[in-house]
Amino acid sequence: MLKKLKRSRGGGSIFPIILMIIVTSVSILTIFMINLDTNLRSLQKDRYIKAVDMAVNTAMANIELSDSVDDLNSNLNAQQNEMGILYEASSLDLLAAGYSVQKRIMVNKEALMDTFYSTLLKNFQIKGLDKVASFQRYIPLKAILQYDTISVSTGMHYDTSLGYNGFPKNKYVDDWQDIRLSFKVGTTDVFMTLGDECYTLIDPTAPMVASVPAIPGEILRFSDANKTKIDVTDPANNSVGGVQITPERKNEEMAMKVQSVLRAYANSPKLIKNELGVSSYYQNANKNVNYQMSIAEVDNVLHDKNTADKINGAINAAKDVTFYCLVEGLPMKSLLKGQINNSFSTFSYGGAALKRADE
Amino acid sequence: MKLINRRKSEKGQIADIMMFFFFIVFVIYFIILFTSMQFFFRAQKMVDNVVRDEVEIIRTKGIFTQSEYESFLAKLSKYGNYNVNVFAEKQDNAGQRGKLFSIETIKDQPFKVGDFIQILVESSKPPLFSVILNTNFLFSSNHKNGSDFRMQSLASGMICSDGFIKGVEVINLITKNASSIPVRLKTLKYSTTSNTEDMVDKWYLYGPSSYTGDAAKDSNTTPITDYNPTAHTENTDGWINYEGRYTMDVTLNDSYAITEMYFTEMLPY
Repeated sequence: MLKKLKRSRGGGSIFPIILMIIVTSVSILTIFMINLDTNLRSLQKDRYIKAVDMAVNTAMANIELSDSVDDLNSNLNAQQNEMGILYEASSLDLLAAGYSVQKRIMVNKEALMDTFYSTLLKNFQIKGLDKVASFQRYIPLKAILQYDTISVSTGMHYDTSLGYNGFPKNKYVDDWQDIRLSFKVGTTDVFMTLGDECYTLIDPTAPMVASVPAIPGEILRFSDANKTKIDVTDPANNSVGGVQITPERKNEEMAMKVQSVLRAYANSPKLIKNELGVSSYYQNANKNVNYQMSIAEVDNVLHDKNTADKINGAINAAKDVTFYCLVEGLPMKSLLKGQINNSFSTFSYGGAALKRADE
Repeated sequence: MKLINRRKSEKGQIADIMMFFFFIVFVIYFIILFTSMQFFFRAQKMVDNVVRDEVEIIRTKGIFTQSEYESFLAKLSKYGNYNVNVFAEKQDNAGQRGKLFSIETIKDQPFKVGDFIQILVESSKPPLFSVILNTNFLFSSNHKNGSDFRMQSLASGMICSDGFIKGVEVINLITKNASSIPVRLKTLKYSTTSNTEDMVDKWYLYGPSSYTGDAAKDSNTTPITDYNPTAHTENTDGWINYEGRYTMDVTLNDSYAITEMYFTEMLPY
């Protein structure tokens, strides 16, 4: 055949033509495969992001108040002060009035995470909430910003304690660590809240107090008598050690605090427990990639008025109750690589500002 | 001799033309394949967005109405023919969770907070990209062994609103608006004969004193001269149950200002 072709071409070499055809065909096929693979991975990534966003948004939309007695007292007091009358304490509509002034809301973290996990697993087509223990290795960081704390969770444990209905919970729940939102002015710690209120401590060495009566396992709080309150919107009452704490300063400090906490927890080795309860440390879900999460790079633009408009969502989000979630290492299928590629990484957050329905 | 050489060169030209022809066909095939692939993935992302947006709408409104369903199908039809499967996980009054698989049983049925809605759409026939990819020039086409790049999209969401407003908010809204626009209210009343709460087929009208009424709309309406709903007690007309669930509808004028408001109390769960 080739001889015939060669003879028909007057004895000239056909090698360049065949080589050209082969090279062109292989190139086109390769480009096609790479393009197809890129499109498939892009589609997967798009769907992963949408699934995480849907879960975060749903969790924030279904926000509930904390049912812990200590937190509940905080919630009710704020409402009572604002409305003068206390009825239907669990209604977010009514609490919104108190919230809009002081943002004194403590979130029911367990209910929020239940909503988050169930929506997330359904969007990943994983059946059964018990699979959350296996899946949570891809969600190494969850954080909830509320009133005067940021609660961070990097692991879970199996909880057999009794629930509100008197039955054992028998489910995986997050291990939360509460971190106070504070910054230093000189040597004085200034504690921030999501509202306009900040406070310093009259005696920093004074022991923290429990509720009366005490609640087992509750987080101790600074006593009200030990607080000096600061209203950042009142120039006559917003000075600490001669330094005025303006709303802008407070927002900056809040954003940087949130940023530093998230960055520290996202990049630190995490203690996780597998389904058998065995604990182990790991650096990242994807052990082959050595990278550091960089969250909300706001340091460089904070003091630049020209780029103030470009300050990312972390600052704005840090003014209201917010749920942050880091998802990384989810497996992504690839046509070209035989093994599963754990390259997916996203950081998602949802914020909630409560408002009355008629506003 | 010259004739033989000419015939050889003619054969060579034919071979060149044939090779060129096959090469062009090959290139055109891949251009169409590339183009259809781009369209396929773009359309797939658009369909994903449509499905996700629909789930967002349902979970926010708390109901999947017939008109919303038709609007959803119209949006989907821009990207091809799809089979739409809607699933719901609902909680009944006894607290039992159950799954619904038929759109007919899900449509126009209000959800409760905590219910789940899931929408799965699948293209009813293989897209152009899949057909071209599985085309076999040399042998008969065998789609069973080919790659099936069928469009498929799924989204799930938890209902976060039951779509109703509470009686306490209705009172606020009437107090705020009835001095300037007519507000019509339809409430439940306890029936002593049947020992049930029944919908009274009568609208109550709160409105400004200057409002003279609408003959068509207010023929079966009991006008209430004041617009203070808290002045009415459980046994009088126009009483609003603080804990009741109400739907809210409004009429807008050309400049999108609210001209009328309607509240209808729903039966308890």
